[in-house]
Amino acid sequence: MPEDAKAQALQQLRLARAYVPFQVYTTRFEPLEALRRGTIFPELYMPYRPRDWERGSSE
Amino acid sequence: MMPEQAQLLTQIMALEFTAVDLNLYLDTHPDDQRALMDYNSAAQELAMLKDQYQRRYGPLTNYGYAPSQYPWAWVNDPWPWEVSF
Repeated sequence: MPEDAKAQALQQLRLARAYVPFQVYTTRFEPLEALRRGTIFPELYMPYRPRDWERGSSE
Repeated sequence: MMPEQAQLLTQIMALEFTAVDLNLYLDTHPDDQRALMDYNSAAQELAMLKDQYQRRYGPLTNYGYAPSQYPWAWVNDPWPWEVSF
């Protein structure tokens, strides 16, 4: 594709849009449990799990 | 078993975290009555626990946020962040 055609194509792209569903309050963790997990909302508790190589496993 | 002071301080930190998280939720959901009720009861219980802590162990903060017994108690060890768990 010629350079000017590329530039034109890029100009027609739309900006990205983010969508966030509206949170609904249901239940919450007990205060001590929430402090440990970093959120009071069970639906927002999404911890990153260490991968094998991060654990230093040789598998 | 944790010493009583550390245990009470942990309860305060936990309840304060609950209050903050409900606070953030309410910022975007100001009409949620149940969340508001939970926030208010957390805030009330938090105030009670802080009052209890400060009577027993001295002020949690300075700059006029907490009254002090005689003599001036802010200089006493341990400061809240020095309590070991």
